Amino acid sequence: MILEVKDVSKVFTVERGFFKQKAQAVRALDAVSFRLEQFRTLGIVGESGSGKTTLAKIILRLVSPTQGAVAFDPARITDFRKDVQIIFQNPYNSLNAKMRILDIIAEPLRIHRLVPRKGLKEKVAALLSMVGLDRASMARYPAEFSGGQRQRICIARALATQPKFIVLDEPISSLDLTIQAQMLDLFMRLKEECRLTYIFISHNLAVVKHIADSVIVMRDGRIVEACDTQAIFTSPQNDYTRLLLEAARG
Amino acid sequence: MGHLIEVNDLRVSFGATPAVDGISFQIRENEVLVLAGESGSGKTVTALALTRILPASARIVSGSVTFRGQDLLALKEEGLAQTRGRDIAYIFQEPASFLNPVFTIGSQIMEAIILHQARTKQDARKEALALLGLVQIKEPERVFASYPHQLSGGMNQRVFTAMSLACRPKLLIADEPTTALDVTVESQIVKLLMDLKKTLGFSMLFITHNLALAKKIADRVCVMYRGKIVEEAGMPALFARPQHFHTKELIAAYEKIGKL
Repeated sequence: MILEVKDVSKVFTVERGFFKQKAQAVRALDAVSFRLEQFRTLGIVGESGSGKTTLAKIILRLVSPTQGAVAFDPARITDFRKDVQIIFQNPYNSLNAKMRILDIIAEPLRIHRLVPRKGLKEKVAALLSMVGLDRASMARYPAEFSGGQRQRICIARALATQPKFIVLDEPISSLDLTIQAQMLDLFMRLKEECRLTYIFISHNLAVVKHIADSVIVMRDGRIVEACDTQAIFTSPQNDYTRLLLEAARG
Repeated sequence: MGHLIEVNDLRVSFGATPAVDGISFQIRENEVLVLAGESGSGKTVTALALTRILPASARIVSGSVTFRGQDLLALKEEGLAQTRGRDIAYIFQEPASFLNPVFTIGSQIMEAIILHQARTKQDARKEALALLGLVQIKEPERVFASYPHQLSGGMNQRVFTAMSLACRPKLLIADEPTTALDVTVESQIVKLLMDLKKTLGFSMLFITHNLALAKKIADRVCVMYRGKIVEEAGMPALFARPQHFHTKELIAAYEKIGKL
């Protein structure tokens, strides 16, 4: 087991009114628990507002839970910021527009002092080739790339620290369907090549079906169903899961 | 010939780069034509060129767009303003970015009604509430008084649709109207558009990269690739006998992740 999420709740306080005197509590996550084995892919499915992204942020220690705990296996995850990475939904605002691709991908290498300065370019070229981009991309800026290509750059950056665990938060939702299919293949290839564990967040069950070993379905901050990927398609237990299946089937 | 709109050899360029490279198509009364293709294939530029609302960097090089006997590309701006928004209306991908954040939903729908139909305020208010009911919003009064940021993406798309239909257009151009939405909401919006088409009777130009949607709503599909229409087919036929390699790519992506 590489990750255990135990009884995690998160309450956000929304302030209202001119002097912010009226506070309103929003329960974004409500007693969420699950475990994940190493080298597996867990799909998290649910609609906007179901708490998927809040959960991802808590796992990544970008947000602290109101209650509960997230524990990574200390034998496998030794240096948290190096070993755990994220890829966000929108590649248009997760790359610094003023930085060249070389600097974008080299930044984590520099911060974690993973490669001597002379070797930086070679390492970046190798990372680019892993995600199917050529060496010449290094000298260019994010604006010169399409959405799919930008997402590849984000992946190369995430892989730079040789992570063991990657959270993919709707990583293909903003892309064309043809590009989505290519990206799914890329994620699955990289998972084998780099021996990764994934959490793959999506609102689309058809996508999760391809990549996840097990799935949890979330609604209003709660897990309404958790099982193997196959089982969710053959024998869904929850009404809401059935609704999602119906939407995906059209 | 029963064609509501006829596009002939349309060419649009950004500088020296052609974005739409000589395309022709027609849409009949009550017909749903889907333009399918990847980002950058020229779908949106085509849609915007029809009523000349292209960005300033784009230039219509040649072609004609005949709508009810008039060439919209040759028309003076004042004449076109009559057609645009009244006879030909649009809905776009991110409704919230087309709604004004500082005005209520109600006042924005009323504006569309008053602008094109010269109605009194009271009358327009009644009509706006009726439109919100038409797009199947359950509490029209509450939504009428809300601001766009207080509504979900799906709700905003319903509001945007209500606004577009305010003048009972003959042609609704829907440019990836569901791409930013969840799948469950997407199927609701698609169903809504089909319901509205049945009750109001309009033609639709529906733009998407996802053939799953084409399958649900299209009478005919034009597949665009690099500024050209590379294939045109009726609906079951496109899936049964795709000809162009890009059509095959789109179908393969649909088979893989567009459906369960």
